[in-house]
This record gives sequence, C-alpha cells and structure tokens, in this order.
Amino acid sequence: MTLELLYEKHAKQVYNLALQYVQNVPDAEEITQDVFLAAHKSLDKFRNESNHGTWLYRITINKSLDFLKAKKRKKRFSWFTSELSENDPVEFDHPGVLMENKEQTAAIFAYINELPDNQKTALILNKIEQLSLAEIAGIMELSPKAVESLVQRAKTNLSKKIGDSEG
Amino acid sequence: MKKDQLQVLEKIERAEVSPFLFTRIQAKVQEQLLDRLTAKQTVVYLAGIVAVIVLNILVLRSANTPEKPDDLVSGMNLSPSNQLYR
Repeated sequence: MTLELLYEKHAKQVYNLALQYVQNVPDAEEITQDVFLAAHKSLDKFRNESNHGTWLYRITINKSLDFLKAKKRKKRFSWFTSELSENDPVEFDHPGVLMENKEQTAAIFAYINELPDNQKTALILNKIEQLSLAEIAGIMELSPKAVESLVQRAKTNLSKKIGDSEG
Repeated sequence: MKKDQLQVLEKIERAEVSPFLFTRIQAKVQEQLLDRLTAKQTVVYLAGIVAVIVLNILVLRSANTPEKPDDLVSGMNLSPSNQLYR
C-alpha cells in the first residue's frame, strides 16, 4: 500500500472527520496533512489487525484532539503574546453545512465543542459520520455498550447546555 | 435533547477535498526525507572527524615515545662505529 493509494482511498473520510472537529477548511486541511504524514511514517509497521480505514480514523481523532488542545493553549496565552491575529481562520465555516442550516448547526457545534473528548468523538462518529456502535467500538477500542453510554451521556449534556442557554 | 435539534447534524454533507492537498503532503514528505538525509550526513562527517583525531593522537603518542640508541642504530641500519675508513 503506497501513500498515494492510501490517500486516494481515504482522504475524503479523513478530511470530513477532521472538519467535524474543527468546522473550518484551513484547520481541517492541516489535520489531514498531519494524518497522512503520520500514516506514511508508520505504513511499514502497520499491524493488520484492523483495516486501513479504522487505523486512519484513530489517527485522525488523535490529531484533531491534539490540534484543538494546541489551539486552546494558544488562545489562552495570546493575551500575553498578542499572537491571535486577523489571519486566524474563521471559527465556523463548515463546507458541508447548507446555508439555511448554518446558524442552527453552528450553535449545536458550539455545544459539542464543550463536551469531553470521548463523548464528543462518540457523538461525531455516531450522529455525523453515521457509523454503527460496533464500528465506533472498533475505532475507539471500547465495547459497544460503552460507546452507547458515551453517546447517551453526550446527548444528555447537550440537552442540559441547550436548556441552560434557553433559560 | 429535542430530536429535531440533533437531526440538523444528519443533514451535514460530505465536503470535497482540495485537489492541491496531496501535492502539499508530498512536498512535506520530501522535506522530511531531506531532513533525515542531512542528519545522516552530519553523523558520517562527525564520525570521520573523530576518526582523524583519534589517528592523530595515536601517531603523536608513538612519535613521543623515546627510542633507545641501539634500537635507533639497528632500525635505521646505521654503523655503531664512527670510523669512516677501515
């Protein structure tokens, strides 16, 4: 399996998953780049216990969460360094969201972004990527029951946040 | 959680990847390969310099060892006598 073949087969999957985490094109492209660079380095050592798709899903999830943590750290310290500039990408600019749904979707994503990492991942994979609990269990290396519990907790937390915001 | 609020997530469509992204990835792969080669070259050059220094030290140490006069005479095939004519 070459990098080119891997990219041809899985780029759209990786890019769209990254988009669900960062909701804008420049950041999603940067994560996609990092994912395929990491995959290229480890291609020889790839253990065929799961297929390439599952393996890439895992790398994408880890790279996306690392990216978000780094961005959060940068924002926290921008007060001291004045690094936050006009050149930073627009927060919500998801190319997969239709104009008529943009406002509502942006609001939901704002709440999803506040969820704990594992709940956020389970919800994204289940509700947006439309994966089954068994598939998500394979990716997250959990039992299907544990995944179901994470999705349920995510929905409950979202419900609370929406309820609080509506007063 | 109202069902319709979450349903908006199911309406998200698959976005297309930029056609230039793979070119950027390939460029990064080349860049990383070049960095690795440069690191290997550096190690080889350093190993060469160390080898030259060690050889020099060994040569200097053997040069500084004082030789016995008899060893010098036999080693250089010299005559022990200062008589030029027999």
